[in-house]
Amino acid sequence: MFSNTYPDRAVVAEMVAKMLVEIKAVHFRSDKPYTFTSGLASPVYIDCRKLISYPRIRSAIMDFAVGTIQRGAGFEQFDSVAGGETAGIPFAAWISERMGLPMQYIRKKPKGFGRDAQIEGDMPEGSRVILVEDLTTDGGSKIKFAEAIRSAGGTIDHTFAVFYYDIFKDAPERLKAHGMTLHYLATWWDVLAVSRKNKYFDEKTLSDVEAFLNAPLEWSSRNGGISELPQKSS
Amino acid sequence: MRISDLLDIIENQGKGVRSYIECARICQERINEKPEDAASYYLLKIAANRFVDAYDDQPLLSNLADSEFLNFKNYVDQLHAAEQESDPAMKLSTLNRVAAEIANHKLLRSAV
Repeated sequence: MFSNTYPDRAVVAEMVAKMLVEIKAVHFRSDKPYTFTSGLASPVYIDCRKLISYPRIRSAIMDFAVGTIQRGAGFEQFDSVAGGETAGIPFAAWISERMGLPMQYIRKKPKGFGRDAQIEGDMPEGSRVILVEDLTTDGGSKIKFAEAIRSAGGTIDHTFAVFYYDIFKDAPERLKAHGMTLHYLATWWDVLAVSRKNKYFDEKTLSDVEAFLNAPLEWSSRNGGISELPQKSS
Repeated sequence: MRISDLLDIIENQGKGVRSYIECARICQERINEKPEDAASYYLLKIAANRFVDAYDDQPLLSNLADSEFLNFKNYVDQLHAAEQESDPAMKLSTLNRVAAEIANHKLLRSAV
């Protein structure tokens, strides 16, 4: 069912960061920045979806995930695990398997025809759901998914992401304001630390990345992106 | 609101996916409020939603976002001119031309 081992949080963070670099899920480029969904210009990009293709790594990460959820939220707090479309779905499947719980997935928007379903799978009224996604930036998508779960009669107090950007300091508070506690394994700061320690990238690149992590909106503004976050993310 | 105001919405929101979601939402509003210009707004809604479908959850390099924006601006400029056009045949010709451009536009995947 699940591994009853609970490694130290710092060890988990370092291992997950190294795994992400190892499978080349981490991308740094300050010369041609990325444009995020929000319009933020960024020198960093992470593709957690690559994890699904590496069974040894994904198995370890799912063990860490279940341990993190149980340590942070409890062992008997959930009736089901819901994955957010699209990248959250495989991780929700593996976590639900390890926790011995049913699973659903949530569409970004209802189909718009037929039964107009936004949640796929059975979710009995009152189910206590943990929402799973691959990553969290400002928490905007999680708030939308949580609204869908609540509209369908579920309760949601916790959400899990493999990776949390940790660049917008108010993201956990924002999720808290919407009734959710965020659990995660690693952040950009962990990736930066292992990259520096192991010299995965040159120092100039890492310094530029650090400048972005310390002041993302200022970096974005200097590089053609937004200079402030919208009050309400869509 | 003028059709060209859609460009400000996208630019002010950093040319990211959310700006095109907002743009598509406004286009639908305009279709309902201004049915005489519904065809123009419907074409732009299709173009905006294609951008969203292509780049939501996908890496988008800023130079590609700029290039896609210029492409979208080209549609808006042509449709803005068509709005001022009094000759129905010319107006229809512009609508057909922009529809063909949108249908044949190849969205590119950003190399990470």
